[in-house]
Formats: sequence, C-alpha cells, structure tokens
Amino acid sequence: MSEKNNISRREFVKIVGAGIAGLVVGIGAGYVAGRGGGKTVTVTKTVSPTSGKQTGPSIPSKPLKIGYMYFMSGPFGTYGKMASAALEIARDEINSMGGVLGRKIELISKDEADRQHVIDNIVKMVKDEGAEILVGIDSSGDSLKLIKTIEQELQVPLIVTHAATPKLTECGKRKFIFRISMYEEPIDLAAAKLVAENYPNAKRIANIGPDYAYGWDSWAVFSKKLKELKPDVELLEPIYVKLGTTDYTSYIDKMISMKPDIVFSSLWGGDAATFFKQAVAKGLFKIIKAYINPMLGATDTLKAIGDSNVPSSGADIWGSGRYWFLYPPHDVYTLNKRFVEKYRAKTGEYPPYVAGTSYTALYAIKAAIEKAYAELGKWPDVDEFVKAMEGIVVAGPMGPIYVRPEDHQGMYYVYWGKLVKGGPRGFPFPILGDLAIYDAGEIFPPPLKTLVKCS
Amino acid sequence: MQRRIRVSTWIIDLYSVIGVIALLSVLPLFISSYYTRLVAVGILYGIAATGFNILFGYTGLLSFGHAMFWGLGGYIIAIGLIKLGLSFPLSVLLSLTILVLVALGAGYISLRHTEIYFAMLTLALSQLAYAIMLKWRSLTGGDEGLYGIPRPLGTITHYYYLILLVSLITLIVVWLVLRSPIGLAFQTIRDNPGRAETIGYNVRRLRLLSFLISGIVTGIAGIMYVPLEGAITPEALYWTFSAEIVFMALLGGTRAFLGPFIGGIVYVFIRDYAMDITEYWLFVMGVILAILVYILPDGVVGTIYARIARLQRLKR
Amino acid sequence: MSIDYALVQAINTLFYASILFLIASGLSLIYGIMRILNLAHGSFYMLGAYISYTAAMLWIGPTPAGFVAGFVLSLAFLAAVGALTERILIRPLYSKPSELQLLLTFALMIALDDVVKMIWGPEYKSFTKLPWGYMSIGHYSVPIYMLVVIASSTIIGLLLWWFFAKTTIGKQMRAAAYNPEIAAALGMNTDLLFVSAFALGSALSGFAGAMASPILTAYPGMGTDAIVLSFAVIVIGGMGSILGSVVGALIAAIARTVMVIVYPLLEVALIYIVMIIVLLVKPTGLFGKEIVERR
Repeated sequence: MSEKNNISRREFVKIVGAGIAGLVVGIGAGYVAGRGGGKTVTVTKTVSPTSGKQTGPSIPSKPLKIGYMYFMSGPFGTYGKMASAALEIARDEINSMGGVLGRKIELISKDEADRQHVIDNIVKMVKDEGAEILVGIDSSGDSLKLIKTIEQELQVPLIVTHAATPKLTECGKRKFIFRISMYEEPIDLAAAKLVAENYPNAKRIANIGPDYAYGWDSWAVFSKKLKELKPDVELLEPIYVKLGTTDYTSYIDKMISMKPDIVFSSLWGGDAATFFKQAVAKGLFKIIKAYINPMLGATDTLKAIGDSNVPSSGADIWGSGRYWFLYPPHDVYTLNKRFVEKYRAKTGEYPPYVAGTSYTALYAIKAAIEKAYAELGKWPDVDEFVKAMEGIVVAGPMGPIYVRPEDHQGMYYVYWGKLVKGGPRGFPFPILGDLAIYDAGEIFPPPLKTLVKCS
Repeated sequence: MQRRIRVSTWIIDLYSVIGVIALLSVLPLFISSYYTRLVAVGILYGIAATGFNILFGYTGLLSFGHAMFWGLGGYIIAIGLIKLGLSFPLSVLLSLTILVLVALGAGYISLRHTEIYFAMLTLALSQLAYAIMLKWRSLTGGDEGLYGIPRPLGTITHYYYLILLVSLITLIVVWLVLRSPIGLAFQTIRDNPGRAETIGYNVRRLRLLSFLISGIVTGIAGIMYVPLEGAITPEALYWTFSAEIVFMALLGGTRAFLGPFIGGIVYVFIRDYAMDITEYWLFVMGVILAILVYILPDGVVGTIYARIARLQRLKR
Repeated sequence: MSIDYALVQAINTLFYASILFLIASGLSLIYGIMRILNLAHGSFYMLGAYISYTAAMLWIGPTPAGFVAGFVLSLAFLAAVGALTERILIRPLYSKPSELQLLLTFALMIALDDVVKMIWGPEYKSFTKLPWGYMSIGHYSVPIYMLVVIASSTIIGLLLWWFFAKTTIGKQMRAAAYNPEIAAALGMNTDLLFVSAFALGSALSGFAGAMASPILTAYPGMGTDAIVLSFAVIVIGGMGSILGSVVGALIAAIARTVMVIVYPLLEVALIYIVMIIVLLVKPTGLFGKEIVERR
C-alpha cells in the first residue's frame, strides 16, 4: 500500500501546496484549512504505478464493472463521446497499473439521449449487466429523476460528472450520489462578483437561457447575487428559449431593443455556439459591455464558434466551465499536461471539461476503494465505499478535488476567462485568456444551502 | 380499401389473448428483474398500439397523434400522485376522466374530416398538447418533466402483475366491443363508409365512439407506464412517438386482433437489442421497418395467422 | 417599437419564412402530384445542410465561391437522392396500402439521422463565417447573407410558378396530379413525371438545408422539427399549392416572430393552433383544391 498515506490536515496542505507549486487552486488551502479541527483527510497519489497485483481472499476476482451514461446521440451527442474517450484513458491507465486492488476496470454504457428510458437503462446496467458503480449524467433533469431509483431501488454509488443543478447535492443529503464536477451555483455566484467588480457602470442586465431548470436557476442565482452586490442594477425581463433552438435572430433583436449593458446567457453546447454566431452577425456585441456565459469554456462550443467570430472590439466575452484544459498551467502541474497530451493523442482534440471531470471520476473511485481497503483490509461494500468517498481528495487534471462529506459535492476553484482568438496562440479555436480564479473556500455556499428553491 | 379476407376468427383471438397472458404471467419466474421491467414496458406499448388499432385497423382512420393519449394519461396520473397528493386509484380516476374529455374534444374536432386531413388534425392536436406540456412549467415541470413518481405495490414484479391484470381486462373489453354490433359497425365503416351510411349507421357518431375507446385504451397504457418508469417528459407526446405507435401496430399486424399487442412487445425487444449492439440503433430500427414494409406488410402475427389459415385450407 | 426594430424583425421573419417555404413547397409538390407524405423530406433538408457544410467548410472554405458551390451541390445531390428514393424504394409500394408508403418514409427518416452521424459525427456542424458582410439599420445589424436567402427563395418561388403554369412538363405534372390514369391514357409518361416530381421536391428541400445551415448550423435530427413545421405550413396554405406554401410559410414565420416579441410562452404552440383552425374552417387550406384520395 505504498501509494496511500493517511496524513494530517497540515501535511495535506503541504502536499497540495508542493504538488502544484504554490498555486492557490480550489479546495484545500482555502476551504479545508478554514474549517479547522484536526480532521484527517486522505490523499491518493494517483500517478505512481504499482507492480503486481494485490491479493486477498476478500477481493473479487472478476473485473470491476463501471456503468456510465451520457448523451451519446442527438444534439448533445458530442458530450458523451468526449466523456467516454476520457473514461477510456483513465481505465487504460488504471488497468496498466494493475487495476483497482488488482481488479481491472471494465466500462459499460447507455445512451442518455433515449430520454423516455433513462431510468430503465440505468436499472439495466446495474441489475442486468452487473455495473457496481455508476458514472456520468449530462442532464440536470435526468440526474434528479434518478435520485429515487439510485437511493431506494438500486442502492449503488453514482458519481455525477456533468449535471450541474444545485438540487442534486444541496437539497438534502443523498446517500449514494456524489458529484465531483463543479455545479452551477458557485460559477453563477462568481459571475455576479465578476460583473460587480469589473463593470461598475453597467446598469441594465439581460438574460437569455434555455427554458428548463438549469436556465431558470442560473439566472436566479446570478441575478440575486448581483442585486445584492450592486443594488443599482436593473434586471430586464429574462428570455428563455427551447433547447435546440436554431434561429435566435428574433430573440437577439428583441434583446438589442431592450438596450442591455450586460447579457448573461446559460445557453450551452451547440445552442451556445449557434446563438453566439448569430449574435455576432446581428451586432449584439457592439452595443453591450460584456457577455457572460457560464458554459462557454467548453472546447466543443469554442470550436464551433471559431476564431473568425471572436469580436476584435466591443464587448468583453467571459466564459467558465468545470475545467479548462490550460489550467492549472502545464509547466507547474504535470498531471494536467499529461492528460491533455493523452487526450489529444487519442482523439486529436483538446479535452473539453466533461473529459476532465469524467477522467477524474474513475480516479476518485479507485482512491475511495483503496482508502477503504487500507482501513478495513477488505474490498468495501457499498456503505463502506460511500464512507470512504466522503472527505476524499483526488487529483484530477483540474487540480485536487475535495469531496465534501456533508453534501457529497466536489469542491475546487471556479474560473472565469476572457475569450481571445486562439490562432495567434497556436490553438485551432478561440480560447479563454487571462483567468480569474475564485477560491472554493470563498465562493462555495455552505453545504446544503442554496439560493435555488428546493421543491 | 380492399384487402385480404380476415383470417382470424373471434374465438382464436380470445384463446390467443388468454394464452399469451398466461405465458406472460409465468415469465417473471424465469427472467431477471430488468427483463421483467422490459416486458412490462412491452406490454404497455402493446396496449397503446392495440388502442391505436381500434381506430386504424377496425375503423379505417389513421391517427398520427396517439402519443397525445399516452402522454396525457401519464402526465395526469403523475400530477395527481405528486402534485395533488392523491392516492393511486384516485389519480387513475382523474386521469381517465380527463382522457375521456380530451378524447371527446379531440375526436369531435378531428372527425370533421377523414383520411389525410384527419391524420393532420390528430398530428396538430398532439403537437399542441406537446407544446402545452412543454410550456406549462408549474404543472408539468417543463422540459424536464415530472419525476419521483411513486409506484404502487413496491417491487417491479408486483407492479408487473398489476399491469398484466389491467392489460388482460383491457384486451378482453376491447375484444368484446369489437365483436359486438358496435365493433362490426366500425368495420363496416372502415370497408365502406358510404354504404354504412345508407344502411342507417350514424357514421360520425360511431367514429367518435371508436376514437374515444381508442384514445382511452392508449391512455390507460400511458397511465400504467408512468409509475413503472417513475418519470415522464414531453417527449412522450412528441409526434415521433405517435409514429412509433404506428410502427408497433404494423410490426405485429393491424389485421390480427393480437397483432399490435405482440408488436409492442417485439418492438421493445428489438430496440433493446439494437441499442446493445450499436450506437446506431436508430439506423437498425429504420432498416428493420423497411424490411417489414416490403416483406411482412401484414406484420408478424398477421403473417402467422395467414400461414395457419392456409394450412387449414390445405387440410380440408 | 421603433421603425428600425420593426424592419429588422421583418427581415428575420422573411428569412425564416424563406427557409420554411423552400422545404414546404417541395413536400407539397410531392404530395400534390403523388399523394405521398414523405416523412423523410425533413431529412433531405438535413442532408442538404451537411452537403453544403462539406463543400463550404471542408473543401473550398467559407468564401462566396464555397457557399455557392454548396448550394449547387446540395441541389444536385438531393435531386439524385430523391430520384433514387422514388425509383427504388417507393415505386414498389404504389399498389400497396398508403400507410406502408408513410411507414417506409418514416424508416428512411430515422435511418438517415444515423447515416449523417456515421459520416459527419454527432456534433453540430458550424459555419464559422458568413459571406458578403453586414448592413446596419440603426443600431441593429443584418447579415447580407439573410437578404440573399430571401431573394433566392423569392426567385425559386417565381420559377416554380412559371414552371407549372407555362412549361409542358409542368402542365403534365399538374395533369398527372389531377388524375394519373387519364394522364397515362393521354400518352404521358407518368413514371417519368413521378420521378421528376420527387427529384424536384427533394432538391428544393436540400437547397433549403444548404441555405439555412450557415446561419442555423447543421446537426443530426434537424429534419424532425423541420418536417412537422412543414406539415403545418402546407396544411395552412393548402396541399399541392405553391402559392399556398408561400402564404403558409409567411403565416408560420409571422406567428413565431410575434410570439417571440409579445408572448414567448406560445411560441411553440401557436402554429398548431393556427393549423387546427384552418383545418376546421377550410380543410383544403387557404389555397388548396379538394384532394382526391387515391387508393
């Protein structure tokens, strides 16, 4: 068990600090340190290869089956493709190191785009195909839909890596559900801070978002916080559009007629790119001060937008996401550099945020099982796995993630970056330039607290 | 609309219903709970297609909006159970009541026409229902739909038997209606509406009755489906699901009483299999449907019936 | 509401109507002549979008030449696809019940979505540039490209009108539409007429996809929404009538824009309400003639 250490908080801070060369990323330094108390956290160094297999009578000999579900087809089908490529990289890495306590990881999957049968398909993976742990879920709605099935019927762990609604983790503690990816509320809270600090003269704030909970909640959190920080803002009537809308021209002109200073938009994926291009064509960015999109930091969206659509003057374009492939910088954080290189070698693309979070999910699983094994001396059952997941720290390409025990939510920093052309910097698509980093300890609401209505 | 003669007799239909339900009732003893769930979905698809076929196969009207009944039945029971906090039987009652009203209204509107205009009207009405479910957020949850819907009787297997019981009763009632004078009148209208009029049938009213029964039967399937899945989204009313119902009915065969029912079950298994072997499962479904159109236009059950009938003729 | 604002919204509406008209006129033409409701018609729209993407973004680059090549290629390609579909897939079904034709086109529709995914992948295909620049109207801006689409669609509408009113083959098509038996008895080659009608209708849909995608992007499944909207358009305007498609497309587009501005909650629903009202008041549509069902 050379790769595992039980260490004190002080040592943890030291390790995190040393490992990422003093960068203030995410969790640890800020939040964990701020909590006080002599709590023990566990760090798993995910990189050190082990030789040979662990053996023990209590470790099953069959492979560890992990089932994942993402949109594999339909308008959001790229998300699943990207996530599954990253999962395969993690699987191959872990398996080449000897697996999880000697058990090789085997991945099985189902298509979330089959919207009428999301629950059926999850049940099938567990009951019929023998998945022991689940990973994935793109849609917030689907994640909420699954709570009952996971918690009551299946009782297997689900590690969510994309769906971002606060309701999943902050409206009551789930037993078997964890989310290691960033959720929407910290990003929206940081967006409000960003606007309040950088645009003191901005008064009129408009919104265009997708017409479902994610769109409504994002605007609710952002606008509430902004009003609190900057009481003189005027919130214009929010615009909501059907998912998958392709013609935004009438909406954009309607928005221009409202004369906004700032446009907040939670459109995502292909919708975000289509809207963006039409907004450029319709001159929206010439008349506003800033455009804020919490889902713009997605390489697929940026690729679809293209360098030629990045306005050279006019509004500042701000984007965020769950992970940005250039942060932490590759020269100080080699884990990220290595992941980006492997992902490029496998797919020919730069990794989008869903790749970063799904990759990390497998390492979180591995870390939790090994942690439990170190304590119990046997392969953990479901309850023991859950206990081991609580409070674990796992290093992913985005830096270390701390899984908060109170709400099973992964904690790390929030980033916001300004859109610039990628060409001059050697990238085939626009990228986020200077990043503003918001510490997890400062920006995360306390566990089980949210501005979003829970019922 | 001249087609081959009816080869099934009423009594064969009844025996087939009882035989198939008996078979389905022992199935859970041999299969995993996932497959029990899958068969349950298949049975409900089968009931939905049977409902559709009352209108199509027996009355000669092609509805392109039957997803409306499935989806409304499902939405209203979900609303009853989780928004209004009603008990399961009361929610079913509420759902049925609204289904009757909607079916009467929709039937009254769309039966002002037949043929293509009827199909278009049913399509427009179901798309309208889809848009309402999508936009009436406070009641329907909008794009995400409603979820966390409790299942009566707890386990999948118990609920499976409830579904089976409801299906048996539904099938027998439909069978009784179709062999009654009313059912025979439907078929007269299908074969020759002009003649039906001259021999004294009130064609318009009979079509409305057929529309009503058809909608309710499909609605019952939707009602039973939602507690099984635990969730419903607006996709349940989108026009492509109406087309899937047509697909199921033709897969089994619209000229055999049990055709659409078997078609629903077969459909679910083909889809499940196609999804397992390839991410391009829609392509596989398309190819299967095309093959069906050219090679088995009478559907699986219809073709089997025709074979049996030919054998019997040879024996004589 | 300022004049500028009204003007740009009118242009947005006309752009949307132009695309709808091109898809719907093809669907209406095929239905009018052959009584086939081609559910795969929206998928041909999608194919047109992808062909044009391939030409403009992958082969030639987003220059005016690339876009024009995309339009021409998708027009030609979809004409061929349409002809082959009629000749190979649909013709054997003419003697069969009409629901089988409908079902076959449904099969084609779901299969084509996956074919597109196999060839081009599941992601949105995005044109990163529009040709021909922009025009300012007050503090609003309009891409010239939108005006080009509106103009092209208008010209095609006029050409279609001329084709059916003035040319022999156009008149023959109308005759065959009215009664194929008599047309055949009069010595017209109905096989040829049918295949040309299907090719022409499909080409119009492909062209619509090519024109729409630089602004609306191309993605698998884009045909599913397009086809059901086209149904609404041709039902409102009248099946088989070119003028009907024009008016139907305008009504659908105006209804949408007005709802976007005034009452977004009804944006999706209003078109179906209009469709139901028209079917009840004048089932043949505003400009349609009585359709005789053939069996």
